[in-house]
Amino acid sequence: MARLTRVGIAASRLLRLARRWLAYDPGAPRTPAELTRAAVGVGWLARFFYLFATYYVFAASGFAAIIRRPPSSPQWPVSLLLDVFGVGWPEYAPFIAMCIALLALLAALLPSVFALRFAVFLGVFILAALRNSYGAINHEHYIVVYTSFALLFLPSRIGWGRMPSRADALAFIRTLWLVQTLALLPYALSGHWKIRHSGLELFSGDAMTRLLIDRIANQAADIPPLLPLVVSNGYVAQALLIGAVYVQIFALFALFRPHLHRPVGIALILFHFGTGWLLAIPFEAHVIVNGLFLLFSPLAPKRFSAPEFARSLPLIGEPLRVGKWAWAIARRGRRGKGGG
Amino acid sequence: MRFARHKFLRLFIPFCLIFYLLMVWLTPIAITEQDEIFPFFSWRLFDEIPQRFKYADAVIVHSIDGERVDGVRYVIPSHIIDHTKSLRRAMSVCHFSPRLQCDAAVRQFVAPAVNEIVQGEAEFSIVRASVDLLDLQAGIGDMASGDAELYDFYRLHRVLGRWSTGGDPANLYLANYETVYERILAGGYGEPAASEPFRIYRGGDRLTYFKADCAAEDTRQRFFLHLTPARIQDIPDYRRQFGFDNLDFDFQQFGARFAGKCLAIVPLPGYPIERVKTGQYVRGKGQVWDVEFAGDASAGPAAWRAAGAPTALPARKPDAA
Repeated sequence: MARLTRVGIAASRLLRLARRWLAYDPGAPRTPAELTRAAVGVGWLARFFYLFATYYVFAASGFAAIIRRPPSSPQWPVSLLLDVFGVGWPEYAPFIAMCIALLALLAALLPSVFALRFAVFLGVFILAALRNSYGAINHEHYIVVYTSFALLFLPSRIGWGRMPSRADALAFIRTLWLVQTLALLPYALSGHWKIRHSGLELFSGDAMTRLLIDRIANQAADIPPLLPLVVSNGYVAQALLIGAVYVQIFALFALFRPHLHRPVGIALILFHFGTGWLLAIPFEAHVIVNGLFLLFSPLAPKRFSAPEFARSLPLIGEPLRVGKWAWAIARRGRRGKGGG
Repeated sequence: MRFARHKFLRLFIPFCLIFYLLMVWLTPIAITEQDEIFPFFSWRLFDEIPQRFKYADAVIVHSIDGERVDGVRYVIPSHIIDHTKSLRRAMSVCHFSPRLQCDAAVRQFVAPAVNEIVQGEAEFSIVRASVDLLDLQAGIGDMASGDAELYDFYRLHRVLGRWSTGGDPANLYLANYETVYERILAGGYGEPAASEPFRIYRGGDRLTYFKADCAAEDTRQRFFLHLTPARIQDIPDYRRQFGFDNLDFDFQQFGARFAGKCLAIVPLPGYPIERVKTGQYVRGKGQVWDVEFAGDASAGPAAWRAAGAPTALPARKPDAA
């Protein structure tokens, strides 16, 4: 037990070091009042997420009504349920979805009830598994599963107008970090694979054009509205790709740099609009989650500061910060000379 | 107590990250049939910049409820089939595995999807076509305006099948093997284009290889099959420099050996063929035998681009109710 504790302490110190290395938060440390306000904000974001989950599950019930047939490629949770409840249970999927939608609505009203949050998580988990048990896999649903999982860790003392204690406020903020981590991880992974598998070819002049055309050759039933325009202007397409890869690779940095929360949220929302208009992959759930937990992040600074935003940017911000530091030293030196 | 929970959560976040990455890394080791263990997806999306030439799979429907589809050739590109990955999976089985496994994969994955789309008993083949992305880029405006369809850019490369979705979906070629075998023995299968060591028959959309006194060694070496098209533009661009299309195959892919006799029925692509050169070879050592004969310029199912008529999906039948 003592050894385990020592390992825990060592891991904690290591994480603190990593966080300090990655973080850039030039403002003064947050006051308890600011933390409390941020915690209340997280509570409201959770309510809005559960409202969205109500709509999401309700929309899924339409799908469930269509698919009343045995899954052709069942995911493991569906296989498990097929073993336990028999092959007939997907027939009740529309009814189950309606029940989960109702529970999500209740969770929006009473997010403090853990049982409700857990039921919603379990519901969206099973619905996402069922939706992906018919051959093709739609990864849009995963973000709803991840977010509802992260929100399980909300403290149970959320009430209308009630101020959270300091411990609860910290728990709210850690839950927000967990949501943001799980929301940003897919982008970081996606960017990582792009660099790993394509390497320098990503920077060839027609990489994005080939990606777009290949998508059409593979799957698109209709030509997305912006595609002909972008395909005929290769440099625009390439600039979009480089920008998207930059945001994806460094997405996780936003966790440690509050000045990036809103800009990264906006960039990712625009990214999904782009994938919708160019690749016919809308990922609406990602737009909502990024909008709620990054664009409206309670930890983001109240006012946008372009210099701090630039200094927070990975790769670009580091030289700017060094420049600022050197400038400050030089000024101090001049003042010193002037004074002497 | 609440602070203890708070500390736990502080460690839990990096644990979540590490666990997720571990699951992503473990998936290809733990299972091979699926790309992921739900809900741990590696998020490998658009990570490889595609090359100029690529393959696309599709299903072509020859008849519905016993009625031959006249004029219009029904082409179902893979994206129409809900089981997109299943079609790809079936194709990869068919390319690398013996014929019976291919047949089983098509029955399991593709036949139900075709049945659902066509809403009737259909005879179908699976085709693999090559697509030149530059062609597609040039034609994207036509596609957007509805003047062209995706399959207008397909260049037929390989045909597999046929299968039927009726009742127990059966590979018609498999069902026909015994019939073909009996007809060859009775001399009712026409004159062979080549006689030794395999008798090779040209027939419509297929080449039939037959050997009466056949040992296991006769089918061990890979077959080469080079088709010289009547029009060079019918074959994929990257093959044009060689002047012929290459459809090499292993006997197990299309053949069966029974009662000491070997029979393989190899489907041909849809373009008119000028010359056929075939035989067997050993990798690194060269050809064991080869024959060359004239192809049938009118052979094969006419390519859908040459058919002239617009390709379309069949209208769904009204529900029985």
